[in-house]
Amino acid sequence: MKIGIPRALLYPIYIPLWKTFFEELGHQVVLSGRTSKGILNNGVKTCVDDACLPVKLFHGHVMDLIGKADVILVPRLISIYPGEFICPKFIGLPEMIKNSVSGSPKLLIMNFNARDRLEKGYDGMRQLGRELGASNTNVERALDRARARQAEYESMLESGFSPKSILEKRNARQSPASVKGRIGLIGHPYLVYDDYINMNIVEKLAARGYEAIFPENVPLEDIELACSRYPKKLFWSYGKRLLGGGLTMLEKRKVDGLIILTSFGCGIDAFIDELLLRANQREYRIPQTTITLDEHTGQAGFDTRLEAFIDMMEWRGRYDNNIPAYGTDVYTGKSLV
Amino acid sequence: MNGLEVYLGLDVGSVSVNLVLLDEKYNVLEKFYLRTQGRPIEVVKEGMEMMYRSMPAGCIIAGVGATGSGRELAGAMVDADVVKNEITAHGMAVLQSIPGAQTILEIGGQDSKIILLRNGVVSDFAMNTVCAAGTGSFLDRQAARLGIPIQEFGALALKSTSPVRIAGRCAVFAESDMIHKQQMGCSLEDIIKGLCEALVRNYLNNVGKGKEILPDIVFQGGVAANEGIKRSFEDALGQRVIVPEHYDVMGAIGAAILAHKKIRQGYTTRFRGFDSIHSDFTARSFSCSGCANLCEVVELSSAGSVKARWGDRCGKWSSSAARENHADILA
Repeated sequence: MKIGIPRALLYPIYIPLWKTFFEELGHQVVLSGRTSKGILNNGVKTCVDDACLPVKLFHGHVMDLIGKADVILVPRLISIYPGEFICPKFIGLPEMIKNSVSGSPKLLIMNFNARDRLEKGYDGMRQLGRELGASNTNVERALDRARARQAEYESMLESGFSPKSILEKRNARQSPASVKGRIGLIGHPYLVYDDYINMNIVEKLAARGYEAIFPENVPLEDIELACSRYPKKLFWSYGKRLLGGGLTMLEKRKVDGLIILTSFGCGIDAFIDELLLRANQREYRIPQTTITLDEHTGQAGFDTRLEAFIDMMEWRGRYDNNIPAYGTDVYTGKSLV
Repeated sequence: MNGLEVYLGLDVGSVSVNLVLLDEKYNVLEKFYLRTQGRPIEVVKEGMEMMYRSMPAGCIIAGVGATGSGRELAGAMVDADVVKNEITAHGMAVLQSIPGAQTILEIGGQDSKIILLRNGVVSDFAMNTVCAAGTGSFLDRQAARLGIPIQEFGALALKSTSPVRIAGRCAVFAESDMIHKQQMGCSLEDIIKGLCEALVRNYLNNVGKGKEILPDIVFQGGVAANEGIKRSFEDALGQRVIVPEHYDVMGAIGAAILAHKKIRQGYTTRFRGFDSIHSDFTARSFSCSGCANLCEVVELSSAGSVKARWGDRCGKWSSSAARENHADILA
């Protein structure tokens, strides 16, 4: 059977798990095309109007798969870590697709709920595997291989690769020819790894000599540690990753600037961005800006903000005289040894 | 020919096209503030024509800078040496002309920004995100709706004795709230003053959120002409707000200063004189069918040859990377 996977929402995070699982069960996986104007238009046209842009894009990607696949995978991610949740829109995704996308494509709904225990999260995949006609033994074997592949992928992400460089087998990290500095790109995976919707920000940064690092490059232990400063548990998994990822980048002096990409109307980002900004202003004082993305295709407003931010970073850097405002001095002279 | 070397700055915005001529000491020799009226090419030509005619004798244009949302277009038309974003341009203009300034409040035609200056550099900034409620084009619209020339808007606000409260978060809400207050019989002065307060409240909550607004505070951009908004800022901040003499063309001043800085580093200007501006500029846009993105590419031609293209994502049409050089001009 040909199983279509929309290249949207958490695709860049979980594709090794999903793809391996279905392929090990003997199915063929097809991906929707890369986000394009056509996919965006279809998504905006089909989806309820008050949803956020990433959810609209998911609709567009589902429509792109109609006719290309026998069934279309719609993950229902409820909780990806014990005791935490992700945005409720992920929970209602299958219903939104069923009610909005016409042409009644056959959907394959895969639940993932690890609220009690991580292991229990995979029960949804087990159940789906059996529904697809596989034996328990085959399902377990496929799941083991899929999880091994996913673990390998996550450790590559933590070692500094971007999903794009791994998934598209780019041999190098997407780095500029000569690196002037690093910029932390903080945002949900469906924004920071979708070049169409983020206006090619990674390449634009590279053209100015800056390498981007992402929340997925930060190990989970560091994220937990960084978030332990807050009196309450951050129970949105992605909110925690964005905040903890940003804080770790600041704390470890890994970045010269932080750019937060947010989609208009994102409820989680509304307070996560604010918490990160406050921590940065209080303790690190590293240039930070927020760029809001929606369905614009005109790039002028985006480019103005990006260009102004880099100008400011370089302007401030020069004043700091290689003694960054955050305290540590950096020796840039000849090597002493 | 040994004339006075001068620098030309253009700021092509959504509502106005501004041109300035600076000498090397950054004195403003000439300035023009023209309405864009949705025809940037014609208005840039018109402005250049006016500049040519009124330029003091013996001046030589030694460098040209362009900024504003139409900076690509303007830069291509006049062969600008520097094409820079508005934040950097506004920041530069204030840093050079108003010592002691630490905060810039800038409200233009369709965007508003706050720029913090510390230790002689831009240290932080923010721009409005999706809401243009507090900007010049909205004020323009309201003035037109009320049948008052925009120039008198501010003076009317100052006559208010008890301003009414207007919803400021959204231009649509503000307009309907204003209409309702009018229907209730509130005076025009009080409504306009209420609008000024709403705009300032929205600006400080949205653009100015979390920013440390320290004196001296400079208020510039087209909206700074509005005495009522200035007063509302002063009331809200509890501090004096300075409106610089050339508040309406500060972006263009910054662009000219940036051009001077670049030329000083040994570049030769690309400006070919005022004659080229008379040529017949035409812009057309087409949809590139090279991939699924169907980018809207804009092509600017003059005298039958293509001067510049932009708007594509992949760089197939524009070679902006080659044109845009990020020379170290902020030093």
